[in-house]
Amino acid sequence: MAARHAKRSPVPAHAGIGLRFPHQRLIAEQHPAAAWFEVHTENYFGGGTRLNYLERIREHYALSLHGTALSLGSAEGLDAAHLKRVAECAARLEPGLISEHLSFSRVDGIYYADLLPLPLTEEALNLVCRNVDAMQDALKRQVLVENPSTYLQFRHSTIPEWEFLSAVAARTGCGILCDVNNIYVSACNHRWDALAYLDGLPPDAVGEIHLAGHAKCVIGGVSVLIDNHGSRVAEPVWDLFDAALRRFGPKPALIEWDTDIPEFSVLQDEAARAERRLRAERALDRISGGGHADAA
Amino acid sequence: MPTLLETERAFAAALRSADCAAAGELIAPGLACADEAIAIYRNTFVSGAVKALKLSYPAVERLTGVEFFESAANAFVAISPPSSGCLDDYGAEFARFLAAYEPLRDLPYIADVARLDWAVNLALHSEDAKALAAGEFAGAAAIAPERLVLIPHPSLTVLGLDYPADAIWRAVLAQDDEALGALALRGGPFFVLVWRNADGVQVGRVSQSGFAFLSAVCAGRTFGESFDAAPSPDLPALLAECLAAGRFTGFREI
Repeated sequence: MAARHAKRSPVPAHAGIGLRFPHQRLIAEQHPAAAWFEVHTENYFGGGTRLNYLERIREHYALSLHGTALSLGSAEGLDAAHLKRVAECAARLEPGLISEHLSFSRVDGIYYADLLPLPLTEEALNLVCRNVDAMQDALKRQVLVENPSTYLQFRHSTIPEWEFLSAVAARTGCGILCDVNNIYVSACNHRWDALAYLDGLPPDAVGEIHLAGHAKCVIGGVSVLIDNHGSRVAEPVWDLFDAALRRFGPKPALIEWDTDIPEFSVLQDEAARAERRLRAERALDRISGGGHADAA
Repeated sequence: MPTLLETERAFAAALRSADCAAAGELIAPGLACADEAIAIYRNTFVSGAVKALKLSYPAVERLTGVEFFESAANAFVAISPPSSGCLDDYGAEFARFLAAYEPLRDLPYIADVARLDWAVNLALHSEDAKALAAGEFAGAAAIAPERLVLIPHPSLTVLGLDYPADAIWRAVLAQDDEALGALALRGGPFFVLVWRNADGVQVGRVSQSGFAFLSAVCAGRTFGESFDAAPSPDLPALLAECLAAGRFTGFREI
């Protein structure tokens, strides 16, 4: 359990939990067991009860700020007002990690409230790097960029997503938030090799791993996986998590659950599952003589 | 090869119009056909915006019913999509939209309830600010009224309404059908204040002169101008009430 005054404390290489409004009060008042919490940045732009609860929680746990709306892939560049609010939120909460997505959601001043897929081209790569630079300059720190779940690919994409993400990290110095559920979802939808995806990422750049549940939908007679964060982590995603830990070493790992949010104890249970796998990886690493720097 | 901007614009157009022809040509053959794959994104976008409206307009949703609300919200999203990446900001124009919404022609009080829902939403999420204590206000006495500007709490909204939306709002959110049935809709105008203090979001009534005074204060007018907007012997009592309720955060001399 984190000590008081956890501000600025790094997010540990243990299993954290996505903090959602229905659990705020319980956590602020009872300090249940959890290694760290992650919140959606945009939910804390104003003041009021939500922020007051989070500041109380912040005193006891390490925190990660996960943005969903900065739109790093926008051809029109970043929304300066939005970036300023992210910076203000970060200054107030002093999170151990800050992350965003490899996607776009803003076009001609309209916010499309989803993580929309980018054409993976040289032009898009240059643009995303420029926007990540702008974000890191404004926040004066490294950020992590997460791979999205996608349901389509553009004809004119020329760069595999893992190469694109690795290139963004290499050119901007940002880290990678490796969402293994998103890799699994996209790999199933596009017939990619999920393990080859993991092999394509630079281990040192990976700063966090996400775990979540997905849904299987039949659309036009074919089965499509949808990233809905509405259930327990699926078994093949746990397997992919093990493979990611083998390759990257222990990293902060997060349980995300956003629709049909269950009792907090269910999230603790999922986090405990992730923690056992992190522990197993540390043990394996010791037996096999190391090779992974344990960040914990 | 289409540029990034062209790709994003074609995709955005497909999300807004259900016309996927231009975007469809850019999409590689895959598991689902292009229209169906785009529909997954459109559904997330529209349902996310509608959900944001539900959170900001809870009394309107209960009054109109879920199905009616979703239909009105979908129509609103189509003509007035979000511009802010923070969905708490989305929907300021929804009350105005509902006031002109043909299916609500015979229920004109709904738009007033919507204005109140929105004011409560603003008060819930506005910046934190320390209220001005009555003792701290004493220093303002030395400033001439035409140079004194009161600073309202960022959560404060002043509403002049044709219908008793505050009473409707309370009854609806308390699911008190008896109180709702007993309400008299006439007798307006009604002057309602919404703000947040240490006890949470508050909804209260104010006199017509109090409404005029606080509207002027919220518009940034001086104390002198605000008083002239509503000359009333009740002003000292109103000021004391506002200070006790935490509706101001400070004052300045201009």
